[in-house]
Amino acid sequence: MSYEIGIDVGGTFTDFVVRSSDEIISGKVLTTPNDETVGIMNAIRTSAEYFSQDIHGFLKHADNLVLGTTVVTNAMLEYAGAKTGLITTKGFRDIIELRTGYKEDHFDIRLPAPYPIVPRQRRLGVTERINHLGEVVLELDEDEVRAAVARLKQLEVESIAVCLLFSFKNNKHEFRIREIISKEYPEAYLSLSCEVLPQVREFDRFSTTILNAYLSPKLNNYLRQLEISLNEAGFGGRLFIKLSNGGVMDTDFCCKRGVELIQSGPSGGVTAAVAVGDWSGYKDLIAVDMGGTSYDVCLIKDGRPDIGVDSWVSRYRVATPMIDIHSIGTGGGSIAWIDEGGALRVGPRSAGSDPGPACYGRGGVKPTVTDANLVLGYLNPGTIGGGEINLDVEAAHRAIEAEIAQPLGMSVEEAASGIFRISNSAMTNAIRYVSVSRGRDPRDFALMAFGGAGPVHVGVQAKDLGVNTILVPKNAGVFCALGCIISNFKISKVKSFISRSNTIRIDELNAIFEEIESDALELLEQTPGIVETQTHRAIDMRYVGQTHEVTVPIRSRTKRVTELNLNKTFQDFHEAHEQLYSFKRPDQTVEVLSVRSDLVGTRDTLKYHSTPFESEDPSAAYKETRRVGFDGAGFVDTRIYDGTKVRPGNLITGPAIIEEPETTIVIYPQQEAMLDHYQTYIIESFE
Amino acid sequence: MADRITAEVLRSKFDAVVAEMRATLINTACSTTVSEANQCCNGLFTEAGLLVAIDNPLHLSSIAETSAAVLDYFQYDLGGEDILLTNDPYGGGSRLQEFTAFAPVSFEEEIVLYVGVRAHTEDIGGDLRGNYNPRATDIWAEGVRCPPVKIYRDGKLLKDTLNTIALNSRNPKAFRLDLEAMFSAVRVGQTRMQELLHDYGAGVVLDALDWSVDYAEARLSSMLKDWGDISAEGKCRLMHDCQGRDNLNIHVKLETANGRLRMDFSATDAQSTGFVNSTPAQALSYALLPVFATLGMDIPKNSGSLRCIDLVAPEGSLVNARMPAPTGWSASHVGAELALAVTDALTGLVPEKVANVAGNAMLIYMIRRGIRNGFTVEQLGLTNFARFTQGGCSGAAGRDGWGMPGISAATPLPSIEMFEAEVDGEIRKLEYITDSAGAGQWRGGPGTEARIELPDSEPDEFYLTACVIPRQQANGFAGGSAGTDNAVLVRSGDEEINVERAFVDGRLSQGTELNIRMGGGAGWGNPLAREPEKVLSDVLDGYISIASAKTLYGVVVDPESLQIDIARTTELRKTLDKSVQDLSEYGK
Repeated sequence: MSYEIGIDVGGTFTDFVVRSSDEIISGKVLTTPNDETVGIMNAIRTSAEYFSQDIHGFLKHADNLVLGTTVVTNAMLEYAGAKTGLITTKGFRDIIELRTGYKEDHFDIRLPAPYPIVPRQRRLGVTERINHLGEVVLELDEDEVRAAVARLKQLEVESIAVCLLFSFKNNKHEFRIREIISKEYPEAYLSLSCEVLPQVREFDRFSTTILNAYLSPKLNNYLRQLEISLNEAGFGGRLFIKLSNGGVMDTDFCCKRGVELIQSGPSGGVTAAVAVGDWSGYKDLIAVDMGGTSYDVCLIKDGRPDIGVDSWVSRYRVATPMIDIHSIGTGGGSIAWIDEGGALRVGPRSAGSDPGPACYGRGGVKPTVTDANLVLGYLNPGTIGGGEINLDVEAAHRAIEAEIAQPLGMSVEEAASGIFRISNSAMTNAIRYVSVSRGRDPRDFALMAFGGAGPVHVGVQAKDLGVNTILVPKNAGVFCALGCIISNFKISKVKSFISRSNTIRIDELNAIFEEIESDALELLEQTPGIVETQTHRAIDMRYVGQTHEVTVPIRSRTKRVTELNLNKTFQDFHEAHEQLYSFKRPDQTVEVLSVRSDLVGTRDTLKYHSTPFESEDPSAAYKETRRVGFDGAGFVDTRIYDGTKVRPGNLITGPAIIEEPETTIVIYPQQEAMLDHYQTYIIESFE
Repeated sequence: MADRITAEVLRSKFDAVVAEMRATLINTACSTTVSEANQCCNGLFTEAGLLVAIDNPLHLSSIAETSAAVLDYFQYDLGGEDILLTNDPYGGGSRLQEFTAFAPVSFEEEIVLYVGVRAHTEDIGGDLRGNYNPRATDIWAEGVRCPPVKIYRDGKLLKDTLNTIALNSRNPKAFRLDLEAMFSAVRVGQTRMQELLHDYGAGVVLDALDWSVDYAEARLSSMLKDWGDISAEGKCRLMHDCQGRDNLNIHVKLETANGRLRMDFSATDAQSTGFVNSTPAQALSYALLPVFATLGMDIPKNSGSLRCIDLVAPEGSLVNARMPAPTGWSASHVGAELALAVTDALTGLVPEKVANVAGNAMLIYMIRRGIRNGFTVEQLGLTNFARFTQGGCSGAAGRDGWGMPGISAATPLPSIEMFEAEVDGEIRKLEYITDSAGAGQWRGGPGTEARIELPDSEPDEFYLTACVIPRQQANGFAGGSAGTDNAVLVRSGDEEINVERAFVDGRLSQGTELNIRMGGGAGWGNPLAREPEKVLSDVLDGYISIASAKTLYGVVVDPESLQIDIARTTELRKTLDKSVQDLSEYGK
């Protein structure tokens, strides 16, 4: 017997999925806030019990443990990274604070400046300058560097970011500064901008490098400690960590690259969405994840999630590739209220998970989306979250009555329906915005919902958007953990190479690809368990005079990029531009800014066994009938099914509710659900 | 009839439609004024022309006026597939650079509502490329006036009309592409609204449009009622108008009663000969910004909110210039000054809720001129250096100033590396200036210094225009002090020019260097109430000097140990504290 373990640490729960040679199990334990290792070990212990083993015996037979961690995310949320210093080109030490003038809300008088993770006193300039051609205009003043290092040492910084202008063009000065630091202050962690993100635009590069310097020491300590704990518990396999780009890599790789793990957890959900969608035959998906405080949307086109390179995380810029997840603040905990104009509003304030919705009975008195769902009958009164929380329908009723129904002069049910509809509208708007701003029509996609609350609402979103197909995976509740064991190895590389379509030289282009790929390929070749290595190349380009680039994949199977490939890529750019921005100018010169390469080492990852269809009749799973409120139909008798008893091929016609252990799926009138071969509910709408 | 929940759901959808129009416009526009600096506005209007939803409060009143003006103009002559176009400041608009496309949305062959799109184009003729002309004394020197015209009739583009307008731009190609982008945004708005009309039914949607206007009125009115019946006066001074007239006064009297706000500019000075004048519609948008910022920008902004406001703007004054006065720079000046006058009035009422919303923008641009066809001097391109500035954000109760204030924050700083790769000049410095921030319990944000070496212009020639209004405020807010002044120094050949007012279209020698200093923001509250630890931290960070810590904040920092001398600080603060009102309870 051998096991593969996927663990995703979330805000409230630590989810796990374990694959053995003949079955897949999953579950949840509580996350331990101060040291996530405890929660991880609890998850492993719970898994071991399932297989009737002790933790030692279980871990001895575990080949791989793949982890989605929140250590980096939390360090960023709480600004609890390492004490960091910056050495930069003299005259430019405020680039990180000027942040290209970006202000999250232009007119919010109370909005403070972002927390300074590298305050100005630890940002030191040194004389040097390289120009845009990579020529040294001013030699590096090494005495100033030594003085700066001495000062940072005196200030007891643990980690130093080195960020010079145009270092992506010529890394000589950054490398020399590294030599000096390793001599003068060898204990300091180091991040060079020419290595973290060798890409034009100083603010993006500096911010990403500074975050890497800030986050890596903490991640390094944590992962090293975790390795020790696992080894002591008998683990003999390999530990891999989920990256923001959707792939996984080993601890040695990750320890130095904190900034690439900021979205370690959420990226797992999207990886799982891609795989599960593919098994069921859907490659174009909008994945929506609704939790207690947020609603995350990600577009997947042709089996590939959108990748963003311009995210903000805790008010800092991260320009390394991350799965592009658009988030709005509507979740189960969003509070309903009435504003000065007498309108019913939902959010942005949230009751979160503590005190949580009024129905949690933990001291919350404000009505929330979850309270409305309970009053409308979508949720089953009783316990959720493995018995941790008891849903009190009376409390929900009271909160909605006092805060909404009475002031507006409507019944509690009408008020609950109002909360439900307004929260749905915000979610629908978010999905539309994500699709439209990326040049896509949501009607060309299927909607996949996961997260605890997503499958309650997704049926309404589909109707509003004109989407015909909804997918809800049975294990929607542990989706990110599932994503961990499905992920491949992936290293993302980028380098700026400014050129134009009429002057670009193919041999220079190939030389750059070789330069950025060779180390990564070597690393992947040394990694055991890789079945095949794939290289996905792309070029960032735009029309001359534009300010934003489009990343265009190079469709080529050859090792070198040929003239033909390149011309085809330029043609693809015009098409992609038209898709995104509704116009193209094929006669205009195209400017190349950066080249990208994703190196993927495919693993022999999990795939569900196909389960044959049984009869269409779902009555074996029928549990009870409850009064449930549906928009336009009022409260109607609704059949409730026990999800654990639904079999592939069963057909459930709406209105109906399927209660899975970790989530509730609402099938609306004029909808029909069927569990498919791969444990995913396919819900179709008909008129 | 729309029930109130459906109406609220639809209201959020109207906002979403406007956001989609905006995304389309910004993504497809050619000029960086739109694609990068986001100088644009999208709106949704009822069949009667009332503004329902808008994405940019800077245009709130002016686009509502444009709507009224074009509908009046084409009252009996508008087809369901027509698109109208105008840029006329004296037809409800703001300034010539900004074109507005306005189009009906039809449902079952009847016009039921309208969409509007406004975008800042790169050039529309006039004396100087870019239409910022400090020498202009009438509107025709700024650019070409386009009264409302049909650019589409019955769904067909009127090519002759388009050519007539586009060929008056120095960049007709970009101009056409910008117009195309505006039409795309119009179509997105029309399509989305038609979908809503189809899905919800025309009666329900039209009801919800009216409800959204009434709701905005009710909400603003209810917040104004909370202020009670109050009266306050505020003023601000525009130091000069770039044409030799100094100290132009903007005065406002605010009065609230029964949930209405009267904004009376009767005591404001007469209009200028130059381009700092405002139209009343634009003046109202700017005057309202501080009010919205104080009440929270979340409040809906449309014709309903405007119903709560009575604007008194005497004709012939800076806030209501008579045709054909130029208005090209009004979005910066006098716009910022009149917003500050309102903020000044609000400071007396709700000091804990004020900060400046408009910065002291400079005009610094360079036109490349080249000889074409042997004789004709053509204005070939424009580089805007004003974007290399940041500063002027005041402190507010509970937080120090940072970045740019409200309006100015929309335009991003360019990347130094991209600039050098494209323009070939060299940025030698871009950093905060020590002691530039106004002192206060919550200090202003520091200003910045940019040193820029211009590239070689051969064989063409470079001409620089720079307008500097050194300062706007004599004092900070609630007992704080003002930040430092703006300044532009030009070193061109052997000459060194300190631009104290306006330097217009002057030719530059090879090897010119610009030194641009943007002043810091004003401080809020008594500086002596600032926590000494914060003062020390500012000293260590170099935002302020040890000397200022002592003279302005009464905090003595030992230059050797870089620690606070507690005894001397206590004593010093005691001596300084007498005359100043203690506002330390604010912002806690």
